[in-house]
Amino acid sequence: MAIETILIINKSGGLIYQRNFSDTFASKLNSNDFLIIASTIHSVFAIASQITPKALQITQNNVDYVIPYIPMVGMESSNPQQNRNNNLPVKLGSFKGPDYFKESFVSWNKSGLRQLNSDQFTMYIYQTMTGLKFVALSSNVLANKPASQIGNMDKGKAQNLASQVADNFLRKIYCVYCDYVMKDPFYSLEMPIKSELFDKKVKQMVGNLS
Amino acid sequence: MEQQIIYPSTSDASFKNRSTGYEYTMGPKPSLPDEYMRSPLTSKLYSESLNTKKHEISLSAMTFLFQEMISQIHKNCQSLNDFETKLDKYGESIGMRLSELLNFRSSISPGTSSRTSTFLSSSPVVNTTSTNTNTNTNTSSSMNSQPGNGPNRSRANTGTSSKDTASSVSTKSNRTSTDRHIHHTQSQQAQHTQVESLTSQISKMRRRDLKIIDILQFVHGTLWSYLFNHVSDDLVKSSERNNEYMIIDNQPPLTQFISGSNNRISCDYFICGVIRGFLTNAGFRCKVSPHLMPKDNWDNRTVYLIQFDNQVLERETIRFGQS
Repeated sequence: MAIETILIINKSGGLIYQRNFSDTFASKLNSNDFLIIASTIHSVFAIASQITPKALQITQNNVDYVIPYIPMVGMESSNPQQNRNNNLPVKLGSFKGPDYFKESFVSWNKSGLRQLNSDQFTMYIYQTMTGLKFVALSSNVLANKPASQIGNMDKGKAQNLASQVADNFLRKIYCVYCDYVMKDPFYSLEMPIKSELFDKKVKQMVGNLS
Repeated sequence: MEQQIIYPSTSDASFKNRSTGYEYTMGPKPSLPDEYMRSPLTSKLYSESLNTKKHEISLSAMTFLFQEMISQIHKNCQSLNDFETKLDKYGESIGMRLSELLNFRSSISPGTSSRTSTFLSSSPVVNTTSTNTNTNTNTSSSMNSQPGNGPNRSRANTGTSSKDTASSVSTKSNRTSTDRHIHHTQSQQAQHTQVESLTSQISKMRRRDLKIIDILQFVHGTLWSYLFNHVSDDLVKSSERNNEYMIIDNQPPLTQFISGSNNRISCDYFICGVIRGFLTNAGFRCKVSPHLMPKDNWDNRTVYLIQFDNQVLERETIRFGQS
């Protein structure tokens, strides 16, 4: 999964962070466009949570919101043997251990938008408990892929898996955000993120993913 | 046996449990007679032994606290210089305390450290049972009303037939009650031996370091491992100036989340303050300043430059000769 762009939208719909990781998007859109995209995503998200079908709302309890943990998504060494050779403990800020988290988690994004597929890209949204949204635009388009590439799984399953990977990945971005943005005394809440440390870490993670 | 009104500064669970709180079936209780039974200190902070095991605290919590401290100072400061001085002052007060505490802790002989956990865990339940047995013996002794022949004979004259004073236990004590009493004092003694103080583990206080190198070694090793759980990465003497020494930390944990190298280095004045307070309290007046010196993979590598006052150097040459 190649990530093109990562957006962070605060709880009032403002864009606080945006980075392109390849040239395909960056050349076409300027920063103003991204601001518009961010607030549009925010409103569509709000609308989507309103038009969730009644039937789904009633049977809410039956829907499984638990996202399984997918090991080492976007981490330094997806290969454990390589890690053993290095023998260096991985430093993850205030997080202990080789990975940011090690268990499945419940998605807080219960009524809004989670995934948007188009011919050009796929968009994944991870919402935090406080209403912060992490948006990843991926160039991978599952719908167009021939069945041979996906393997034995049918399309629905593959999409589901991609969404779970994205959720895992964006949750890790959230962890990095908690460290390098929230613990920065010079950051003011709800304002654009200018921390170069955060930038570096996110870039590193996206690089590990692809 | 006298009632022990002033308790040692302990806050064991048994002390806390004695106050049962508001009993709604009885209404408000008269609090006065019960007051002394209660431990005045509920916080564990005061009762903890000075030589407790390593406390690890969450880095997240610590950095959040640090972040709040910094933004608080940042709000109230006009200039950068002002900001750094204030942060330095905060650290200094910690360093001054640490110079006493760490010297004390390193005086404790290493073999006995395991015993310290039992230091305050001995239960003073004996006290409650003692009051009970006191009343028991009181009644029994008044029933028998025999003059005491035991070792408490001398005290028999003082307490004259009053049933309710505590001393009456010993006045009209028959054989059994004196036995009990003796048993009592024994248990009391046992309790006292249990609650032994930390000082018994110190055979000899560690002498304060007098040489610059020694005190810096102490900072580099003991202070750093107390603060960050590892010794500092390097301790270097400046080749150019005689009074300059450097302590190097490859990755300062406290300021690792702060973006902007200039901002981060300003925040490192806190650690500088700790070092300065420590050294100043130990009799080495100095100035400490942080410098960012990235090297290899360490982008945050920070050098704490310590500049001693001239008087410190002069003293050193007088005391120890040219070294």
